[in-house]
Amino acid sequence: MNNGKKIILVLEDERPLLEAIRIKLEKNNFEVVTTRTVEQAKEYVKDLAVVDAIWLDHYLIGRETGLDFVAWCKEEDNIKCKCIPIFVVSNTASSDKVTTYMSLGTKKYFVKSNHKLDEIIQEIYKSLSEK
Amino acid sequence: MNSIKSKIIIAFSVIVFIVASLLAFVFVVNYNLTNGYKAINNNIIFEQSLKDDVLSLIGISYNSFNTNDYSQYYTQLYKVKTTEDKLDLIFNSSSVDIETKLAYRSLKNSLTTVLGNVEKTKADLVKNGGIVGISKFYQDTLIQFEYVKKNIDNLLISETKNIAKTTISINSAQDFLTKLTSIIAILTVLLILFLILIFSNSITKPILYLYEVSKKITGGDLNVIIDENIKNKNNEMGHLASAFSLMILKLKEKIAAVDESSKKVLKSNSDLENSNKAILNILEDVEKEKNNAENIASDLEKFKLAVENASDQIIITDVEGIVIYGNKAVYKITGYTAEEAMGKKAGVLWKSPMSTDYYKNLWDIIKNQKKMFISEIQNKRKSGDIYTAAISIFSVLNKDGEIIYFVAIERDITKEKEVDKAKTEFVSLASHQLRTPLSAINWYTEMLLAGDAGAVNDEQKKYLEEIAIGNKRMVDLVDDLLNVSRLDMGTFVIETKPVNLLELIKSVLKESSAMILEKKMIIKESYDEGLSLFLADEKLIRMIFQNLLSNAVKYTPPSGLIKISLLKINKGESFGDKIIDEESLAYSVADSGMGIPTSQQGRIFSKLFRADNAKESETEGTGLGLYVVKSIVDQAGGSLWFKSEENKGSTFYVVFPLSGMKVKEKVKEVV
Repeated sequence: MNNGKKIILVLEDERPLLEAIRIKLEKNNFEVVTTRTVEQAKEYVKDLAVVDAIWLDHYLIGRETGLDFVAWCKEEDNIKCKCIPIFVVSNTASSDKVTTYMSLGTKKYFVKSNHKLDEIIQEIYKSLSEK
Repeated sequence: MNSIKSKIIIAFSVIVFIVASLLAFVFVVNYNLTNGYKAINNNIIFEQSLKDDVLSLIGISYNSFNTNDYSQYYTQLYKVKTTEDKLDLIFNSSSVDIETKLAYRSLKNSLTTVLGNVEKTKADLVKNGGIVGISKFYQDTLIQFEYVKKNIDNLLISETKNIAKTTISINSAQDFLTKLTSIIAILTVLLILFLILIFSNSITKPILYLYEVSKKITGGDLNVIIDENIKNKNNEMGHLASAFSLMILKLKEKIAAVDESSKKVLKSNSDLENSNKAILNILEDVEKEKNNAENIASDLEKFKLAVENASDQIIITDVEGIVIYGNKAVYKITGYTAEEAMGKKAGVLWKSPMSTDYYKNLWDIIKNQKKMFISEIQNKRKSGDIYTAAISIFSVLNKDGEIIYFVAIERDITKEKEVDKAKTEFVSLASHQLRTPLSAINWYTEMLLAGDAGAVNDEQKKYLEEIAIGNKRMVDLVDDLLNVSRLDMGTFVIETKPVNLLELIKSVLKESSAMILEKKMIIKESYDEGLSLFLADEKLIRMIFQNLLSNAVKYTPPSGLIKISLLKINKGESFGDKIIDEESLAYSVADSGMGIPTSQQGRIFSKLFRADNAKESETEGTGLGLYVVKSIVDQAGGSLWFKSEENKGSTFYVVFPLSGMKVKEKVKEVV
């Protein structure tokens, strides 16, 4: 359960990257839940009592993308998910996507290959402590 | 009037009269003489015949006496008796001379006597008969008849004398008359000649005079004056002369008038000439206009054809938006024929599913602002399919600036949109696909370097760092390629907000600080005071600053000098050897590096181009940086140029209007 660690749900389709993210997050004192599909992520959100943050990639396994997940998450009646800060970490850098994500209410958008893992994690940490 | 004609008539009449009279006289005289001669001749012939009768009586009577047949005798006697009467007739005319008359009397007496005797004898004969009687008779009468015969002879002689006289008279008279006739003839001729002379004066002289006058007139001298004397003569010539004189006057007047007229005519003529020329010019112009019009018409025909057959849908509406024309593409694109669309409000037929605001904006721009509306629109085809079209609507104004038509051009870009969407998706995916393994390398290298998998020795660290550098290069390349592809597709957007450029430059410097420190570069900064916030797309302007700076650092040898400046330029001032024609913000980076060879300077902004000296050096570069920066600057309404000398250095200049970067919106509406 929760031992002071923040629980972060990571949605990422690439296994090696998912692995690296998990390692780094755990190193930074996060409780990490990983998934490669939106479907499973929805289940986790429903099942888990608390989710402190969501690390979201855009392209995922299955038909639904990170965008679909955010849209579901930010639905009016999805009280549980609505308030969870979502950090989009994707290699897709099109401003379209960025604007779309940000307008849907995601917290931050990172272009994967432009940042060190440490950087991203630092940002997330900072953002969560500000809350 | 003493008419010459009457004079001539009179003169000739007189002559004729005189001549006629003379000739009549001659004739009469001749006639009388001839008659006289004839009369005498007749008398002679008569007397001659009487004589014959008497002679024959004598002869007969002798016979009769001899034969006693007196019938012949009596017949002849009777004949003589009758002659007696005739004789009276002749000689009772007074035109007999005395001698002849005496002779006649004698004859008459003798004849009477004899005839008387004859009667008596006859009676005697009757009474006495016989030879006695006959002898008596014979003796008596015969002697008497002989006597008569003698008388007759005398008469004849007289008559012959008369005739001879008469003949002489006649001859002499005829001589005289002949002479007279000749004289008359000569006189007549002379008279005629004389008259001719006289009258010729009256006629010929004036005529010659007038001839002279007319010669002068034809010679051009209209000022001849006809002699008063000639003019005033009260005859035909005088009238002719005065008529001539009048004619000259009238001629003068007429000529003067004609001169006037001809002056007018000449003037009119020259006016006409000018009008003619003007008309010809006009006609030329008209011809030109006609040609122009024909050219225009044929051009218009071409345009009409072009419009009718254009693949884009072209609709013309009135001010209210009612369709008045649609080309063939209307049917091709919407499925509705142009005829179906006529008379209906545009957009009503293909029930566009756009928002009210969209239309409000549309009408505002075209009707109120009278500007061109360019956008994308979604319409519904007749089949019910929705399609996307690139639409441009503009108004056509009359010379008073009022809108008379709207022209709407639509292109079905559904496919394009799909293609674009696919391209964008592809680029997105591709860049994503490329970045994913790069991210893996990046992060795992990071973790190794951080010692998350255990401590690393120096050598390992060195190798890992090389991997990281290589990885970074790849990431940069992918970024660049992504930018380029976005630039090429036109899908990149410029969104502006007020940006603190100084802070941005500082941040960019910080990014490159590692390399700057390593190469021990000297950075000189020069910024204008009081530079306010600048309306820019932060991401893009960062790219510009960052790229130019990193180039300066990359291509300058260690311990080189880099000068960065950010200035405000006023209108008309010079910057980077150019006159800036409006208030602008100017950024420049000057280095003391390898510079760009002159021969390659023209290509420095081309895609994937790196100058030879850059390639030879050990610096890395994609050749895309300046291409991207140039595209961004151009699209954002700025200018980018440089000055460079090989082995001396390069200076790059960027200028934007002070009003900020030009916003580039995504055309598509957020659905």
